[in-house]
Amino acid sequence: MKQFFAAIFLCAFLSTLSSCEGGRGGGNKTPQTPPTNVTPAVTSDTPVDATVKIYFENTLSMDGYINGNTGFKNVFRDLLVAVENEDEIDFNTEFFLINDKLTHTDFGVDNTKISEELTPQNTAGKGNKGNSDFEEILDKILENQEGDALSVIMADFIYSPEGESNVPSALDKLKTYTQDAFLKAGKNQDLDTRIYRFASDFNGIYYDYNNRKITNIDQRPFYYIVIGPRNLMSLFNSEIASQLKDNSGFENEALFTGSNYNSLPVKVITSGVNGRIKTRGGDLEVMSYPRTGNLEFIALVNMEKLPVSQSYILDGENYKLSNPEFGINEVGVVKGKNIKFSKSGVVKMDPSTLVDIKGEKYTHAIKFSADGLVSENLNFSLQKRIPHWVEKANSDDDREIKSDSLEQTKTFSFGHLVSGISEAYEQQSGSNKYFNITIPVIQN
Amino acid sequence: MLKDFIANFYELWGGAYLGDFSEQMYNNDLYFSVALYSIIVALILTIAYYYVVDRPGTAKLSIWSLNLLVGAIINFIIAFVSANNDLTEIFASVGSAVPASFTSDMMVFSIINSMWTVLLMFLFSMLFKWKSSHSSYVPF
Repeated sequence: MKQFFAAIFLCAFLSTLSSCEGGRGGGNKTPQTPPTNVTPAVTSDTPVDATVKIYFENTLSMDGYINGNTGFKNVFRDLLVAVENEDEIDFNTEFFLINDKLTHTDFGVDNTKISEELTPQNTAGKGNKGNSDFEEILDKILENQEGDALSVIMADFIYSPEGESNVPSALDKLKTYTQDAFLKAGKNQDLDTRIYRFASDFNGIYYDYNNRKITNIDQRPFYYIVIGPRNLMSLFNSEIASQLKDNSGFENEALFTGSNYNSLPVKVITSGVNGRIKTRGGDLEVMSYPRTGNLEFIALVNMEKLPVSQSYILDGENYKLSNPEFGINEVGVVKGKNIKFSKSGVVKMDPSTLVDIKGEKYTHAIKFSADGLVSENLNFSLQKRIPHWVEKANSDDDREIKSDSLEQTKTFSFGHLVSGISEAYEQQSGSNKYFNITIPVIQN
Repeated sequence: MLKDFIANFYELWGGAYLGDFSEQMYNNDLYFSVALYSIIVALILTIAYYYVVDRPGTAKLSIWSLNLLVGAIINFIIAFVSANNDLTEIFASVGSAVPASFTSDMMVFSIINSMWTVLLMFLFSMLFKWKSSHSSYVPF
């Protein structure tokens, strides 16, 4: 009978051990990290009131944007109305004209009417309108950036410093001084910077880098550079910028931040696999390689908290793999039970995958491939890099702008200014990655 | 980890890994309940053979073998029905039916459960036969 009791004890022991693990369903119901919800615009550290400091680049090259009712004014009006009607925070709006001088003005009207008063006539005689020295302008603005304040700089960002004869040297100087201004500002506060690019009709004179006057250019890009503490920037992006982006003139955006998001939930799924893999416990084990083609599999990632644009996330070139055995084929969006890839179309998630991700949230899917045997862990990161559109928008020589329609969509020196901002953030945060994820690969 | 320990028995250390079926069984801890019920059935049948049914007429290798076969059949049914019911419930929670390919996987899983039942009942027999009045020399 002793053996009999020993056997009963063994059963009871096994049962106890199992219940300690969480019982049935425990494995499936425990995600690697808790599921996340939509990033709230207002968090516990969001202030009750804040200041929005709007800076208008008061130079001659900007007159074409404020001459009549232009796309520029439409966006500006939208901004003023959105700020004024923001429910989550009581914003105090301050408006400045900036060139070699910083002029605080409200034109004697309500905030929402400032856009109507912004004309070449009303801005004449306020500082030197012939100077677009952005290293100086940014320096002044960043010095003026303190506490719970958002700085919105509205400008064409065409660099035109007075007395500079050597253009390449001047562009390098612009980059270096911009970097310096942002590094200094970042010492006191964790600031995020966002750039929004818009297109507007243009009724004025364009000044090329030789200060030659060029007429009959009908449309030009302009930019909003928004700088502020992280909590306010999050609110600005979700509540105010979302309204500006609805404007037909909106084209592109870029983000510069020191934040890292390394704890994003990730799961390798068995849907859409070429080959046979085992994904138990968050690991990846290749059970068999495909007879034809490369090994392919999909990892779901919840990038909801990532404050980057959808186009940036979906651009596979923004990702870096530390293991050359793997490559990224494409990045798609999770929509209900499907994954939408732009190149390979829709992948329907099979029922087993739906069970695996039940109660968890994933927003994006990355399709990986490996053209040979896999031996090391899969490590991938989303790089903090200057978006491709900045390179396309940059011009180093704008003298032929009148005859070159592509040049008319570009901005002289813009890439150098953005490089300065980007390098300041990289230097400050010590990392050029939004996140870095490792999926352990188990060897058979 | 007990979960992996039991999964290894059913997946024969990777030799009988059945893809999505094995993942669902593992992730939802379905192996454990089948293993526990199967152990109890094997235990009850072995004890019953040696101490309840125990008569001179049943102390034969053929009757002992029949007892093992009954255990294997019962545990085949337990494995199949338990996995099928639990998986049906789990897949219904995401609005899907159990994939058709799972039927053959459940058969393989149930056969493996029967195989372990036979082995377990043999080991239990070695443990319990000594105190039996009439069957202490069965199976040998």
